[in-house]
Amino acid sequence: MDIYSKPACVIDNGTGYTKMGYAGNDTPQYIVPTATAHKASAALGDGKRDGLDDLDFYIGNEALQRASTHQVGYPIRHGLIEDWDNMERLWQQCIFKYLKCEPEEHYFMLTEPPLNTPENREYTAEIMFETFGVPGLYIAVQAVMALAASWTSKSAAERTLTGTVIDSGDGVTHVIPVAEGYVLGSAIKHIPLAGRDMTQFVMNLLRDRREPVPPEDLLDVARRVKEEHCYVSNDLAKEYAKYDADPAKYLRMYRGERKNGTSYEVQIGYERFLGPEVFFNPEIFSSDFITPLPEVVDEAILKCPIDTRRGLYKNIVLSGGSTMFKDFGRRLQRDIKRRVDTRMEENQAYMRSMSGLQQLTVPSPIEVNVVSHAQQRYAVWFGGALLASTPEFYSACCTKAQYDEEGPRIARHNPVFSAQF
Amino acid sequence: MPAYHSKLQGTSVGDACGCAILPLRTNLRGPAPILPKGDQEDIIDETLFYFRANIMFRNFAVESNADRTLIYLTFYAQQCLREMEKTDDKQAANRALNLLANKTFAAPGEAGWQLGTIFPAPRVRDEAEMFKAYFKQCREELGTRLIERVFADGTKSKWWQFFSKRRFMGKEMQ
Repeated sequence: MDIYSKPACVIDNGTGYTKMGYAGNDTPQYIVPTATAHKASAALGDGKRDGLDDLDFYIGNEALQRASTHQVGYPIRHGLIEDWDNMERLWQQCIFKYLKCEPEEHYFMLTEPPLNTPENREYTAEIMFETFGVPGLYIAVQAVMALAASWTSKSAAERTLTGTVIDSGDGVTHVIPVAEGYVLGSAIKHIPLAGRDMTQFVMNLLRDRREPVPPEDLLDVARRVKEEHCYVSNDLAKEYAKYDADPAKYLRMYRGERKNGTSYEVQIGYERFLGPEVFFNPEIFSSDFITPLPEVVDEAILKCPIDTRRGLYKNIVLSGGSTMFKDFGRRLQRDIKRRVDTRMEENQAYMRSMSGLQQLTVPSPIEVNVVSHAQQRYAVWFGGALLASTPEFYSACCTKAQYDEEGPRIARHNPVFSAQF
Repeated sequence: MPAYHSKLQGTSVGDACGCAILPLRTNLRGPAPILPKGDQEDIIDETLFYFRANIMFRNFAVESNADRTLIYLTFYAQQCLREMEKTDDKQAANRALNLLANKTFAAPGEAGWQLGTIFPAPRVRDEAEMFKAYFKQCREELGTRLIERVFADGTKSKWWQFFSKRRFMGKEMQ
């Protein structure tokens, strides 16, 4: 059995969670927190080392459970690997304990955030080729993988690597324009609002209404309410009116249990649509960041080269758990479309007044299209798994032979490849 | 989609301290033109319809004088809800709001005015008098209609009450 017939391993290391699995699958096999735990004393080198330190090392949920006895670390911060020693051990456990494979027999695909440094890729290649001896490695940009993931919802002709990725996880939201597979770094926008802030907002609303939730459960209840009941509304005032007209249809009940076994009931109302509204009207929650998401997306695209803009508006792709709310894409599309059309009309009016001509060539309207698809939650991993299952993947990888010949330098650049199915 | 603006500027019959004097559907006496009873929406209906959405916002770009009327009444509605916090009884709430409506209140530019410079100070004394007379009428009418909504099914609705905790534009009237 040759090496190409074994599926490649795809590991997507995010700040919060590490998603891993084999190429060709449609969901990651394991999703664990990107956390490590080791004995604090072992790091001090107090002479008690007995060569078994590596065994007393945990990752993921196991690491978090040992917070009282071990030192817990998060090797990735803001998407970038900061603690290489722990990262190496985290990969080791991913490969041997979770995926249970021989790294010498599988090609590997890892992911990196946009604007990662080439040096970081060199370190990664060093660890992968020298510690684990992988036969081939490809380091993919997360945003490009998210674009690839959206191919599932399109016909073959529309599969491009040009588009705007909106990636919203727990901590931060990014808007990343990508043209022909290359990230337009200068146009990337960050929004300091994401899932965690929405949970906080829902929590504030529940608390203000004095819902009978035990304080220690409040955060958890708010998170579940957000995940299970929230949706995006078209219009705030009209949505309130809908609740007034038919409360039974819109109000929900949440049942929880206290630690002592008694149960409590929480009524869920306006937070169902107010939660995700944080993206579209941040000022209802935050006082320092008040630019709505559609505006940020529009600004990001306007910073891109003019010949890419139509493609970027046409393919706005959602990725990450905080974009999963019902009608999120529709509302975003409507709001962006409205901005673009207004600007277009103003330009036309201005041109007419300047040139004095009544008949001008009218440009075709800009097509705004927000793509929602089934694999949105783990879009980056899924896109990686999709591309890594194509034959082109193997020719785009850096191989062990190349590494032995030239050194870590080869991993500085990972060519974009567009798979044809 | 920022905060909601008033759509009633066209029906304005004048202004006082930057606020449009808009017709009301009411039996109370005052300077406002009276709208006939019917389905026609007046500024108080509009304020209460947009109240729960608008109170979430910290910024409000004033586009017309009717917007200032809307802003003042939104502040007042929030003050009413705070007043109602003390009681769960419809009668008592009614009494409290009546008292509140009839209390003397400041016009822009006077001592005790709390809403800052969104509202221009009156140019002549009569303007402040007009402001007070018009809003006294509005306050009373808004109180009655707010109670009908908050006590829609006989008991106090928590779905309205909890908005007393929010502060429209980061301010509130005392």
